Amino acid sequence: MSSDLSVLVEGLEKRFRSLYAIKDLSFCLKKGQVLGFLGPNGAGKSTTMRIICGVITATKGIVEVCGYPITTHPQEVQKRIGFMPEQNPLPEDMKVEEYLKYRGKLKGLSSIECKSRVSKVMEMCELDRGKTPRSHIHTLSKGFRQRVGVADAVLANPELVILDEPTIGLDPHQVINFRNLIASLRGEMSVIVSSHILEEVEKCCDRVLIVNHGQPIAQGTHRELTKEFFENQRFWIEIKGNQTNLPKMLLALNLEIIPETPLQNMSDGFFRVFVQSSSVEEQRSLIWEFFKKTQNWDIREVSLWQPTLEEIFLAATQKSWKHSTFSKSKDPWKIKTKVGGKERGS
Amino acid sequence: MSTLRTMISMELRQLFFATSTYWAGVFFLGFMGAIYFGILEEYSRIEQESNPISQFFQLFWVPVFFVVPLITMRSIADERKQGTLVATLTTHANAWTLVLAKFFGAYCLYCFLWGLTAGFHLIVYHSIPEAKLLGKSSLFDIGALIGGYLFVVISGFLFIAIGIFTSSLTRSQLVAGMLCFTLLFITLVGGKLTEQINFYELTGITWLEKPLIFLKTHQYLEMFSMGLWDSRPFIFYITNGFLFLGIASLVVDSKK
Repeated sequence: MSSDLSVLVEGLEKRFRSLYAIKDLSFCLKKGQVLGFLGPNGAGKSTTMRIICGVITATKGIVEVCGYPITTHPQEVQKRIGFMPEQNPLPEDMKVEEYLKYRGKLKGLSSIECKSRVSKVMEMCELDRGKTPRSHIHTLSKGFRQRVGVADAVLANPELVILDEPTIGLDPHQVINFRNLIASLRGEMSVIVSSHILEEVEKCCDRVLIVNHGQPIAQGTHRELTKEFFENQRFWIEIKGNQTNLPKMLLALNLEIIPETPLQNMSDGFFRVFVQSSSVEEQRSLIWEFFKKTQNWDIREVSLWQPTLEEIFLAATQKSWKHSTFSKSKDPWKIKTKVGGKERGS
Repeated sequence: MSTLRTMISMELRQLFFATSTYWAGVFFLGFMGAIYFGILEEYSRIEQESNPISQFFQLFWVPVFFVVPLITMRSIADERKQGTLVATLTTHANAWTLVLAKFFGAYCLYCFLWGLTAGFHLIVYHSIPEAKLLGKSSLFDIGALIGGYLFVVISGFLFIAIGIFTSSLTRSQLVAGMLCFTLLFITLVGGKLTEQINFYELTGITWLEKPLIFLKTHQYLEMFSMGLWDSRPFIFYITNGFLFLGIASLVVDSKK
């Protein structure tokens, strides 16, 4: 395993009797990166995270954390991981500070280290204000409980932090705070975050891994995923002219109107149209020049459309469903994934 | 080792702050106090074959039936119900450490509660002048007292291990408590019952008599009370205690 990798997962499989929770899942995470783990309910996100942490064992496959295989060196792996499980279970009858000190000791910190780390993570997660350190956990709001969970995960300064649905139940202010917290960890620790809030993942993650039915269906940066699922460039154009001639005009530029989006007429005679190009080259200036030079036509805006992660997610999951339905008779699990930039098939 | 120490101290702390501990304590001391009072009253009226301390320990099994389930049923079942078990097992602690910590926490409390009953004997020793008289039927037979407590401590090892084991089987404290009661009943009463109803001859499974002879808890207690210390009960209670703890750790490992 390369020394700059925090996590390497190859051909991971987890079966509960005859049911596959994960099938042939492969991905890697470089040190200091933040990976967003996306997928619909039951996609296998939590199971994968629990396997990486050594809580449950895989049926098949390789999992290495910081170079240590989980099967042969579980203790070494656990030393390097900070994990916040889904639902963030906490002992209700303990106080915040007391709980974190206890967890610090369980994670092998000395008394002095434990004291300084506890005060640092409490400050980092804004748990050091008012009566919070001495509050019983059962009296805390959902947001504060989540903060305690995150504080616990980063307490022992682990090389890899795994957070399973950390933003569930947080209000917008707390979500922003959480995003800032993740940003502060970037470069220092590798982070895997699973979430349903795609906007969150988009804003705080370097890379995204989308899983469906326990299989990876896409992974990479936002730009890479856009390229993979939206091969053709799409543009919003604001133009003025005879609408009946528009298809002909667009054809001359190798453009076509996207059927699902109708023309939007504006009060000053201009209208907005959403088009896609069959060319891979940047066409904005070409479109601008073309409409400027053509008689009886005017243009005032041409902008390149960037899909949100939500749109990528929907496109990816739809594609995977179509793929699995189409190829069910052959091998529903057959899919190609990329590990460390290298394409591999199963 | 430091992980185990940390977990045991946390267990003791949690038991110290748990309401159920105080309920168990009050109930246990009240019940044992009433038993001891009844024994002394009977002793003052009619001449008895054995001294009050021996009679007191003869009834040790009565509180065991509810004190052991009360102090153990919460341990692992509650952790699993809350989901904190997974979080604990992602630290340096493994299933065995967790089970041992739960066990030692409950075992310390069990021994502490029994230790408090020594107060009954000390009160009698200091407040009744006749208690200082020596002899077989003395009110304060130091040999029987040490033997009785030693037996309680050794047999408690197995009883608490049974409680921890049953707590590892389920998420429900109530179910764990009931399972514990059932297993304790078999352990404590089973031996005597099989002897009384001629179980082996009736069923024809005479080969089971030898292995189950060790279930005769009352015989051990009598031996200890007389000052006869045998290695067999030590081995029986400690090895079986570890057996239950080992199974409990396997259960925790498989159900996390």
